[in-house]
Amino acid sequence: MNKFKKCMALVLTGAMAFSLLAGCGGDGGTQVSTAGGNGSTSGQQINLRAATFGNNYDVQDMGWRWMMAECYEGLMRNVADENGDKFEFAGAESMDVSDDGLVYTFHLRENAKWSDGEPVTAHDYEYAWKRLLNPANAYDYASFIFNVVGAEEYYNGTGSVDDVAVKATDDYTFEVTLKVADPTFQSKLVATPLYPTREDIAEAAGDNWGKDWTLCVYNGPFAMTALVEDNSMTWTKNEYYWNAENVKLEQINWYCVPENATAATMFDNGQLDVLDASGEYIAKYEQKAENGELQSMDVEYPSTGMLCFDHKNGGLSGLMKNVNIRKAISYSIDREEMVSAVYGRYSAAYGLVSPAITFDGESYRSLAGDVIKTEYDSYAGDSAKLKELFQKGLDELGVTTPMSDIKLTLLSYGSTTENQLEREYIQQSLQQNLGITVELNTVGDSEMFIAKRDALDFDIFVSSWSSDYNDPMDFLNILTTGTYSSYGLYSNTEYDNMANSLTGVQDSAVRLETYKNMENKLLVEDCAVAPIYYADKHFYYQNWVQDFRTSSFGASQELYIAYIDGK
Amino acid sequence: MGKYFVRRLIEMIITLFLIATATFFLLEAVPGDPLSERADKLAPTLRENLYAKYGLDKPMMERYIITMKGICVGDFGESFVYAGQTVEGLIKDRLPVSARLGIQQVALGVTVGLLLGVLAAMKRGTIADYLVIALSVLLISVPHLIFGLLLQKVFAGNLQWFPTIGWPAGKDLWFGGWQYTVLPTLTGCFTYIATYARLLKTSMLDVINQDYVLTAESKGLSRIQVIRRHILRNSFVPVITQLPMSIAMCITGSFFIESIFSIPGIGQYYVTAVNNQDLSIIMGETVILAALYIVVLFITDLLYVAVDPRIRITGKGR
Repeated sequence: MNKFKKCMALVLTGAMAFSLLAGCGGDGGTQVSTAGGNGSTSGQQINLRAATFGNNYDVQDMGWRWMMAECYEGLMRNVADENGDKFEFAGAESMDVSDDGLVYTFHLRENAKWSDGEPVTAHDYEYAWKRLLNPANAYDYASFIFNVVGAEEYYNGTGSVDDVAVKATDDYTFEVTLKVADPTFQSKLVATPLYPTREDIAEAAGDNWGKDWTLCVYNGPFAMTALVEDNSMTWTKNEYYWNAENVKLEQINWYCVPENATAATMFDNGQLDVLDASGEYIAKYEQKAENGELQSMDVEYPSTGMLCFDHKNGGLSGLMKNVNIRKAISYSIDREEMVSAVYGRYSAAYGLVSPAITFDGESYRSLAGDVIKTEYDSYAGDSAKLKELFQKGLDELGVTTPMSDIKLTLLSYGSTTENQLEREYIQQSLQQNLGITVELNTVGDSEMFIAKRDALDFDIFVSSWSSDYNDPMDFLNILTTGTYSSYGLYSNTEYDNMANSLTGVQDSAVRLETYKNMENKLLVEDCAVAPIYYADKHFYYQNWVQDFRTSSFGASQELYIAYIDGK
Repeated sequence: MGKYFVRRLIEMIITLFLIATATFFLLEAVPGDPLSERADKLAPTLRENLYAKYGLDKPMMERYIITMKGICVGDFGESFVYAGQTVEGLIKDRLPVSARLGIQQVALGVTVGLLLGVLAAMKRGTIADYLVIALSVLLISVPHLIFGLLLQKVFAGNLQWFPTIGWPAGKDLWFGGWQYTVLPTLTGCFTYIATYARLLKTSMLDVINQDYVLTAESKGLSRIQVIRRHILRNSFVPVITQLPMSIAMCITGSFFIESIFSIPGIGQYYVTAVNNQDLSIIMGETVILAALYIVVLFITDLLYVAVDPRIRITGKGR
């Protein structure tokens, strides 16, 4: 026993000694694959921040768009500047569409290469598209190409992969046949699930495909060259890229910085070149941008925040069935005040489709106008009129409960300051303007929120939609019957018919008219949802960053033409 | 002794089994699942396919059996949220990072804390004592997040003495890249300084008033000798109780510190996994952390014997 004690004492002493040593510190000063911006070989480097890193290099999975759009490339590239989003040919040089709008023939760029020097061919596209549809892979975006002949059948197990009408007719010609003509098809071409994938490489990686970056090849302007998970990542210029001579940046250093405060400190020091700011940081950097210490870029982002109502049971109160009650709720919220007081960014929404969505090259919003603005203005801030509207709804439902006894439940989640302000602002607005009681039912995370929402345990909840492709239809479609269960289960035959009437229609005037009618039906006639804000993004970047771009559907920070000058 | 080890080992396995089972059913009881957020914006056929791919379409008991079988052979499965992430990978890549940070924090924090504790106890009632206690209260009540951001802003931001973010990797993983570790270590060590300074002071004050200390002093031993031989050793039992727990806690990572300094450790990942209801990762980490704690408790029991001969592990006479 005595011996044992001595041993333990020795171990203890050893541990203490080691602790002391370890505690002393010193400077190893050796290569550390982390921040600091040292070891630069050329001035053409840019340092960027991401709040989280993904771990997904499989383009079909679209897990990580901001990375994929830079390290990979599809048929087209989406870029935006002050004048809005535009599509440019990238992997394809040109595209022919048959007169009936069914057959798309892409003529691929013959000088496009993968980072191992192999050419990018039409077979890579064919393999990728078929891979996307393989039901065993369960890709979220498989439905993007369900309109291709044979695609949905293959996905549902009723058809064969050989009957999917995507075909490499030769090495550089890729042909796709659609079931019905669809002008929105083109706007999906910039989405990463439709990017090419090398069959030999993907098959060799097997189950590890997309999970290990070292097993991948890249065909974009940059290629991944280093990664420390949740810490840092390096992209180096891809010398095999077809347009490499016009890519000026040699290296891109990404840092994973979850804390906004840390990112701001790094940006202030010049350790970060670009900052995607939100909340209180916007005010700070806006001032600096005005003084010329920084450059700034505000861009619309294709996302709209809205209040949703229970259309199935009318909510816990049963009142949400009535359109006048929904309108009274919607018009009780001062959107202008809310975006400045709660979010400190964004803009007030009086329509569903985001202004970032373009139609025939113009912002859809400028074509369709602010659909609920007129009616909103006639009630805004007038508590008596709003109460009258709400009472009218109660009378229509035959409810005799006085308004002061009415209780509505607002379901929400999230614990950030913004989340809290948001729900409290809505609660206050409704209570003050309508004299009703709004109870907050706040849950911890999105999973619990979804469970409560699907159990219809609410009257109202806050939600948002971010668009996947550049067409108003992607917004309007969220409220067609049976598409999603996540926007209050609105169901209206007339609305569905309008959406269906567009199948195969290529005439843009007809499409625009139908879109306008749909939005009108949805918001003015039915008040199916109450749009609150259109999202946007605020980028601040150092004066030495030139030609920095962004985009709604491609890379949020587009770097292939950016360069550093004057650092 | 051998019997004792076997008994503890069996107890450990039973405890781990119960913890794994409880974790599984608790996670099942929470509304929602790891795929619900992702599947929320999917059409019904796509959704079914996604659930089938991850095996979440199977009944609960079947999944329980699959999970437990996996745990028995050390296979916790892949993350539902981050493709390709496994618990084994986390242990291999992330645990060492958190462990180094934690060990440095404890080493520095406990050393300084104990010294301050001795100082406060020996100089009780003086300015030094009050300063130490005031400092402890301050250090323990200010959250890590505030300290971290403050240190970062001043020493990395304004003065630029240290890098803002980052962590040594590769061959520097354990002994190198010290400049990256200074601020995170300082941020984390304050809690230990405060805890151990107060702990040792309280415990020493108890001992100082014992008769044997008086005896030692009356024998004419020097002040230093009295402290070293008689006071310190006898005041160490509470410290020994606390220390292994501190070490176990610290190597499991700190969410805030890792997130402020972008350290790719396990603490950040655990919290993310819980937020995402990432079943396989939560199961794996919980079981492994539980195992770690159980081992640490066992070591603590052994340490008691080393420090205090009056305690016996078997509970029986010789």
